[in-house]
Amino acid sequence: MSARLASLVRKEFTQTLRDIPIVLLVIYTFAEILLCGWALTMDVKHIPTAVLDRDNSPASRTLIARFRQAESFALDFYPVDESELEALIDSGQAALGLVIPPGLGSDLSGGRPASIQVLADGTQSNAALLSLGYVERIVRRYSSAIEVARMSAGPPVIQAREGSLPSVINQVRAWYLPEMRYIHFNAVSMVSLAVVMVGVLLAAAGIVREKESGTLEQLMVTPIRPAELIFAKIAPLVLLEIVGLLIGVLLSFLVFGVAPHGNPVATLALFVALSTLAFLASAGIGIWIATYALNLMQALMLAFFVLFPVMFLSGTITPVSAMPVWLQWLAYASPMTHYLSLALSIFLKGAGIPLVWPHVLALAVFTATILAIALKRFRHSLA
Amino acid sequence: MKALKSRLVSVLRKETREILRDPYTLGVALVLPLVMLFLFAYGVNTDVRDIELVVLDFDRSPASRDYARAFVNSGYFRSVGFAQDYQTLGDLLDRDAADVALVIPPGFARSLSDGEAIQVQTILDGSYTPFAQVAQSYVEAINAAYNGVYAEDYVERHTGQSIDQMIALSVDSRVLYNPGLKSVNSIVPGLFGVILMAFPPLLSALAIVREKERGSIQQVFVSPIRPVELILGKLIPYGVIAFVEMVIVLAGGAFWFGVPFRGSLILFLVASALYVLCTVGIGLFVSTLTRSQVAAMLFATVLTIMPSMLFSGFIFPVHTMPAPMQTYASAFPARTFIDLARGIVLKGQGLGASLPAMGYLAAYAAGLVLISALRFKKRIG
Repeated sequence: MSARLASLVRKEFTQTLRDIPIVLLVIYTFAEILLCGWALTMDVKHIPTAVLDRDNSPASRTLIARFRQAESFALDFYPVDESELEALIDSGQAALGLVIPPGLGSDLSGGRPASIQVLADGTQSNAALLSLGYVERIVRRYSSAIEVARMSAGPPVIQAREGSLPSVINQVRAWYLPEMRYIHFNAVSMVSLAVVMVGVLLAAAGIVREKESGTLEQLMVTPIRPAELIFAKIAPLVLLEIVGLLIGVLLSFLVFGVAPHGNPVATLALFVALSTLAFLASAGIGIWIATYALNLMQALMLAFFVLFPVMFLSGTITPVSAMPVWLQWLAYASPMTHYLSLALSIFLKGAGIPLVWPHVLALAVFTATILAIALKRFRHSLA
Repeated sequence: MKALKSRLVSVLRKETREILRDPYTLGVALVLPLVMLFLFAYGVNTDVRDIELVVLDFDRSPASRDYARAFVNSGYFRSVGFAQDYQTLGDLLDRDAADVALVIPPGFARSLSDGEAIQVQTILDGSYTPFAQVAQSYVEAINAAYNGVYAEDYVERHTGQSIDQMIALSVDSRVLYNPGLKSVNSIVPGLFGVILMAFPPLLSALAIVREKERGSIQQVFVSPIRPVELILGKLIPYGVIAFVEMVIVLAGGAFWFGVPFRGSLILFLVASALYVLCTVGIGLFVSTLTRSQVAAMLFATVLTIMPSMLFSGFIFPVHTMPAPMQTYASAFPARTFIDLARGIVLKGQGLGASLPAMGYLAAYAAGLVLISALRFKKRIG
């Protein structure tokens, strides 16, 4: 490293690390994002539910008890009639209404088909869909117990099987994360998001700040080359990124017990290395944006214009394979998609480079390309 | 009063000119909402298809092939082939070459024809949890359907009775407000809350902090312009941009995606105006906390974009979150506004039902402006 570059890098390190609020905010970003990981799940729990039991028989009370036992439902309301039930849903206090019609108990014991009514608030379509599925599951289980009891009283062929019908029991097991708790997935994906977000924003801000204060021209009349300047700008940010990443990983281990799979040191080293590659790609995007922007506000607007789609398409919110094909193509053009896939495989499955090399290659190609483009634009915008 | 008006107008004119001269900021502020509308409307979809399935069939009977075929025929799974042993199966999952493995034990066909229960195994890649959970629910549904058909045959064969007569209890469900459960209908009203929170606070915070960083705010202070005039002059243009953004999303949602609008438009606009006050109020508050634009940017992101996207019920339902996070979510106005917007747009909720939420938003905005004004004055002295 030439003396020129060394002194420039030293200056950038001092300047970046002296800005305590920024350092703290970067660390806070990693921590807050982790908090998100804890709180956000797609399973629906504690759905505020209103129950109108117009039968009030042992059978209806047993059925309601089944709902009370399930974690999915919170039976908060017991309206006295249909209009009160609808008012509860209208006002948004209850998201689900169960109506048990009169005569349910006697229908069931008399062998007549019976049904219960369910009202769901469709304004949150996803939650409504899932909660209807849960209701269906509980009722089915309740019903099949009665069906089996009826059949046992039936013809001897079936009685011989002690009331059981021939059936396939499909036991589902999840590898890598047997409990399928969201927190593992979320912790890794949110920390990865933070890497990309911080990379784009800080790199763009670093260059634009020099532009805005007019010091960029001064730097350009010195013998420092554009590539050296960019290198010096990114170097302290990489340090910040690694520290933030390690804090994020440490927190998710201490608080949520999310540990790297396999050999912790090797897995962590690979994770940090690939995160740094993704960080460089993000910094490249940031610098590229900064060459167009005149001030921080413009840089920020452009950064969000890029960041929102990149974050959204990465698969953190919705699986890539569930998107329409044209969105999938866009998703695979984004470095974040490959990075997330790598992060999950390495951190949670303990995969090594031999298994995940296509994503590593895609990420590396993207990083090289965007840095080259950014450097070219940077030279051009200075000329 | 007249002097105040003319001073305010001149600040407004200067700010408006500055915004209009900046094509990037204005362009992004107006185009990004549409991009987000399209991304979310087309992309937020948990209806996963083409799940890659590998089958390890130890039974190799017509019945076991039939069972495996039920998965592919459902349209949700795509077969990527058959494994011969656990080793290859594990390898495929490790390499991400398959998402789900189905293991059928020997004796599958015989147990079924003898009327017994037989256990098969499904192995999912749990590392991509949202996907794995959806896949699990499909596996359960397909398995239940298969059992239903098989049991129907079996019962008819042995008793001559149709199984339909044997169903004891069924569910008769009705979905209110959004009968087709179209996700775009929930996304659009939620997106108002997100978009209005994403830009106005950030832009208004930066507009003020920029003057601080450059030092030009000192010049403003020695001029006859009062702090309140400066603040209003800075905030009103961004409030207007926010309003235009919202109208764009409203129109895009209604005309492109056919999202119904059941409530009163005027009520909705009033509620949105209150919310915009909250959002620019947050921007103002952030601007009193810091002198550096970069710090303001990070602050605004942490205080606005993250909570409004993630802790507002926009995608993740609030009642599912742990109790402390529900409180955290309620501390930001996005949650209240998104509920209100869905209420007005989808439920056709009237003024009476909307009043508590609107009162909360008004109080929130007033509180923010008050605190910021106090802090702002201190800075000058």
